[in-house]
Amino acid sequence: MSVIQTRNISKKFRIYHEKTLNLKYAVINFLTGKRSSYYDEFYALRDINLDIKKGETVGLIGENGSGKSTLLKIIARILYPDDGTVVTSGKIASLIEIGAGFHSELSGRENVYINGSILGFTKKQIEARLDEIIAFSGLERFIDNPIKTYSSGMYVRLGFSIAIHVNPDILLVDEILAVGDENFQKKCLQKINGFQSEGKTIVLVSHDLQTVEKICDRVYLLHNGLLAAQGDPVEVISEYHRILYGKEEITIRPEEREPVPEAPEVPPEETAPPPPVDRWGSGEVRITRIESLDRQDKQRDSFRTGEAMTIRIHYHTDQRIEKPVFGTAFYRDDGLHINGPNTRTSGYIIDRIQGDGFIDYIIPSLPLLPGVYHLTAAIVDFFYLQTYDHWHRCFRFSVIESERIKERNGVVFIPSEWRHHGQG
Amino acid sequence: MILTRLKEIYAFKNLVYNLVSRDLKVKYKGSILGFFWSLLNPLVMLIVYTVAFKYIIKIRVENFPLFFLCAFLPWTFLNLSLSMSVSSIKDNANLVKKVYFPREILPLSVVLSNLVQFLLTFIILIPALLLFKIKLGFPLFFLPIIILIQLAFILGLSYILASLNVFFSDIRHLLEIFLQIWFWLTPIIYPVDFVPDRFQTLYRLNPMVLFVESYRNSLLYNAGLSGMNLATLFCVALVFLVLGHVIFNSYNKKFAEEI
Repeated sequence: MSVIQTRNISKKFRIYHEKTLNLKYAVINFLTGKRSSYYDEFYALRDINLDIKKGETVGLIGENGSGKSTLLKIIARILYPDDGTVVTSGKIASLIEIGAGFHSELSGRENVYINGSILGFTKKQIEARLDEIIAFSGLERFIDNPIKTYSSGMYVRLGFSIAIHVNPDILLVDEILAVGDENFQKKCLQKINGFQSEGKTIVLVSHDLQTVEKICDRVYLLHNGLLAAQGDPVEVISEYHRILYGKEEITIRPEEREPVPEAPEVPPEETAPPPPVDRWGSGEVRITRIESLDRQDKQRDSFRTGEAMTIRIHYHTDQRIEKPVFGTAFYRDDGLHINGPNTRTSGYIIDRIQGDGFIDYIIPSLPLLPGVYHLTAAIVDFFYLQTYDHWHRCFRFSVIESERIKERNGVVFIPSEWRHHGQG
Repeated sequence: MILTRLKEIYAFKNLVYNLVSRDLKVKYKGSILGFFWSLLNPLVMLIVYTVAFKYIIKIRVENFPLFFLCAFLPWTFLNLSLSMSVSSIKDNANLVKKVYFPREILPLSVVLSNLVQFLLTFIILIPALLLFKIKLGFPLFFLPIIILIQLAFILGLSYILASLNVFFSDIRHLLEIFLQIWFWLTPIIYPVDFVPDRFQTLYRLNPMVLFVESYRNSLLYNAGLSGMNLATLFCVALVFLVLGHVIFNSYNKKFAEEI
């Protein structure tokens, strides 16, 4: 049975140009019939469907701004979706803020009562748990002092102790397991384990993937407000790593949410060297792998204009081959042939090869403008008479706009400068 | 709809209690005079207005200090409730953004805390009435009813102001000015019949006129209360309460993201 069920939840947020919306704006906009000129809207969540069953411990993971905290707040009824429905059953407690409503002039004990009542306790319930809460916090000696005398660690411990003693059916936790010293954290995890064995439902938002993997039965991955993956923690977390890693290359500027159209995201299945369908050669030397590497020798599928890039061609041969020539060629995805360098024309003579090895084609500054490109790699004899192995346009990479080089038209970036002469 | 909200608020009655008592505790904690501070303000105003109107302007009103208090205390209840509750949602942004609870509780607890202080001022008002040998009688029994109606009226207004203030921060400043004007439009330091006859109808559109009249009749004049007045006030309070509820709930869902 689902205790939390969401159907097609969407949530829009507004970003105001002006810090506060004031009456003047409202009146002007009302009179001119113009709307929404003072804010932008963006989707924090789009079409989210969750089904969380009783007794499950579920993790919500994703990058900052992926919408996971927003989703948690919607389940907690702090925020409301613009579209879609949320159905929950049972008493919900949300540990989103520690020490909500704490007042520094009042004593720790008085604050337990106030904070407890904010979390929905009755006075009786608080009294029944008071000793336990104080003991858990380890603040017995200070509990009657005003909390303005507390250190921040004491403050957090008290807040957490109250929160963790809420006895809900559904517990929503946002990133607060990372408080206190190690000993206190251990106590918290024990408490969470206790909840689990009591058959309570827990929804956890966290960046601490180790903890998520350890305590969650199931994980939802959010990415740019969309549900990107769900299921087994180990699998979803590795998917998350892939997205995190992929984002490094795909996102151009952090403030842009969508990849620019010139650099369409290449689905990961296609970026590993695809089976070379268009391949020929006599086979004395065989190309085993082609890589495109960045400055740190890391395999990447997309590069920025002006970045360093290395094409690495791995080969294997069982014989001794005299004076082989390695070549490559770049094509734009529409078929435009861009170049076709080889070791011989570059004056780089390799005397002989045997066994395994690789050759690097090093580009200090990639001149290609944003787009998708294909690559050919080949090994031939010195006189271009025999083709040992030829992979035709079977490797693919993309180029995305760089911060520095803003050109868009054409194929290549030619390092150059402008100079004006004439009358101002 | 209203019923489910009331149920929800009732479930959090302990929070209301705690917020009210926190408010009162914090207010008086660490001060020697404690609660008497809240009596001091009306006393000072009493002296100021008595000197100004009785001895300088020489207004002809019997028992001016009591006449003044019977109106000024209920006025203070309204004045403080509104000017504090208008920012009650905004001031508690950290709560509203992080914890679920019925948001009505924030203006509600502000108003209730002011109600408690209002009731406590009767500690000096009643002895003062006795001291001046004012005859108290049967109309005194209407006092709780008047207070309840005024409470509902203030609550309705507070809901409206608190929710609008989240979206338009100018509301708070407008309210300050409006309360100044409202004070002079209410017969606190002058009797109702000072207002020229031709303005009387217009003048009596101000619900506070009827409230003040009712308070004075019940406390000071030992006079029967106009049933018409009470019925009118009851309706006005009900309208504002329902209106407040509707406005509050239509904005409620946006509070957490707008503050």
